[in-house]
Amino acid sequence: MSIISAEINLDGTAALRDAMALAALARDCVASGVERRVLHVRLSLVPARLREPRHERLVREALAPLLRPTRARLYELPGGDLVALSPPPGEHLDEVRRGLSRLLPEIPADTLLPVLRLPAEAARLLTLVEAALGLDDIPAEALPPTPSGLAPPSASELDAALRGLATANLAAFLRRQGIWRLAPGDAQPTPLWTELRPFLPDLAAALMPGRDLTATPAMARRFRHGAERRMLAELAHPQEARKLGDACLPLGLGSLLETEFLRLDALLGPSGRARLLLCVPATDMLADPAGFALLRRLGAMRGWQLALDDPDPALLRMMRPEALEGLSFRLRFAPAMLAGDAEARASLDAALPEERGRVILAGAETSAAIAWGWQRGITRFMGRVVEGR
Amino acid sequence: MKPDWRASLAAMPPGGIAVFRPAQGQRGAGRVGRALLEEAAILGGGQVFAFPGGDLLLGAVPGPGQRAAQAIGELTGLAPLAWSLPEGQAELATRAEAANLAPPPRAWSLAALEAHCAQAPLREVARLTLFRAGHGGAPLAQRLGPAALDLDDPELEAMAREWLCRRVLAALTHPVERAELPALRPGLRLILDFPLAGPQATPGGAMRAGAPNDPNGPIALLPLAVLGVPSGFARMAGSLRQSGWAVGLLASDITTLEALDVPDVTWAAPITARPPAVLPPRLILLGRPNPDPPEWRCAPGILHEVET
Repeated sequence: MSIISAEINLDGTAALRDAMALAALARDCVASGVERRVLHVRLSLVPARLREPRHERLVREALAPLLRPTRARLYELPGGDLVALSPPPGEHLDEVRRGLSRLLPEIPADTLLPVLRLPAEAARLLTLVEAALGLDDIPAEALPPTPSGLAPPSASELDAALRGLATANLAAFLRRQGIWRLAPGDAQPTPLWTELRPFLPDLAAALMPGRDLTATPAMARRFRHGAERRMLAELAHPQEARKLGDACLPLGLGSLLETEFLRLDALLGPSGRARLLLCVPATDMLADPAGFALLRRLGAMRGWQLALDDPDPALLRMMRPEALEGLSFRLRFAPAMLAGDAEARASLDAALPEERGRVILAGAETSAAIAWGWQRGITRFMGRVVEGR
Repeated sequence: MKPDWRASLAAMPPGGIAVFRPAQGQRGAGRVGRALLEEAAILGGGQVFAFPGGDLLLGAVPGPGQRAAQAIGELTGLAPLAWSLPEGQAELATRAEAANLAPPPRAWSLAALEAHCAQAPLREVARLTLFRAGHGGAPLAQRLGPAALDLDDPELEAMAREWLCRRVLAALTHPVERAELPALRPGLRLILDFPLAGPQATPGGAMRAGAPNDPNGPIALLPLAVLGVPSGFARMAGSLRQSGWAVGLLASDITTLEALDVPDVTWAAPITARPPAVLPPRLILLGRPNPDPPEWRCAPGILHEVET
């Protein structure tokens, strides 16, 4: 574990776990009234010149009293700060404070090394943990996507692109990304599925240069289905199907109820189908409810798992619980989920299905997404934070 | 060269099975049905013939074919026909012959569909239907909207509806084209179809229908897909109500009503033999089943279609 590291990557998950544990501990102290001294070592304030190996060694030495395992509980926060807890009076905390102050005289000790008392200052501790997790980092209102200035394709241009897709080699346009399990106690994320999908922006640019597909959702969906059916046709060969393994295929409803997918479904056999997760856009369910109902019955019969992809939480709130039975959900984390007052947060939480094991949080690009998920019992993630380097 | 189905049928050993699934309903159900028949053909030894009017499985042993037929019935609600061979041979041959000669469904390109929606005469693509409540009496409401094209592909049908909705709305506010639309009846509540973009898609922007927030005002019928962006739907519903409209949601399948709980909307959905498990307070039933219109259509809060 790196002590001085402002980077958030795989070993950042240990820091996340520490942060969650520290938050839980602060709450416990309030509940039980147990007193603790807390030293917050804000290594994130240490200037870059001291991050060189020689200085790093000095910082390490100053921290030595904390690193002896029996002396204090030590937590590493995302961003590199350390938090040490000790029963009062906690002389070794003072020792560290003195050592580091000598090393960094230019930063006032109260700034670099604040001391907190639990349970009295639990709220302050929770605030700093939330800040380290990025949970207080309320983003500015997301800007609407800037129009590309390009014209949408005409119907006949899209017809031509769909004909082109039928014989295109998609190899260069396929993207793979992992879906991982990462629970608060895990040292490493465990791979669950590998998502496989055609990357549409590049494919659309190749087949319809100078046209903007995003302006017309119905045409974009048509194109998406054409690309997916081409990918499925390539997968629906015995050799390819055998290689598929634990796969997540995000597919439109119109692609799933078509020959290419059904051929793959037959080739996979019961054991292959059990390893398959299909993610269908929630909007497709609304556009064709009868087709979606058929797909659900088919999934129950054939043994693959079905998830609603990217449902708006407000849509989930409108759906009766029995209508969601047996479905998984792939939610997209948006920094805006951290914003809003207590009421907005509670309303968002109420929209999540009760069985959190059926939720996958996609778009986990920062540790705040993992923390947000863990706070809600979500342990399946997809995104840069969990993706190995 | 595909093997001839007659030759294959003649060569069937006794004890075999024939399963025929007529082409009806949506394309997805047909694709699933064919896939299950093809699987049965592999498992039990046999062949599948895809006719324009339906799919035929000739299977050497009955087990896989029977299981496929049962599975198709459970999945799609329409059980295929099954015959033991050689007993059912004559009846099967008649069905297969007719299915083989049935006209194939038209394969629309997007360009052709767009052109059709833009050029077909308004009186063909706009449709006026009348509704009443309960057992008797005069019609209470009229719906003006695009005629369904009955395409087997729900995506294309939705695209056609969008194009046609915009055309009908544009004609409504056009001094000359308006005369080509079916004449609205005075005194009946209006149910008007809107595209996904709602009233913004109309040439003059929002159309004022009456005093704000009148639950008995004319109904703006929006496709169910508007719920894909709930915040956008909330905004649209708010501005419609401000302009005097009541908000309606058009579902292509009545079982959707059991899944969704949307406050303050009137639902519209195709009529079915049995009511959905959850009956919304306000419902418009589309279509007139003949000869057996279900009795539940006359329940309180329901408008059902009557002859024009």
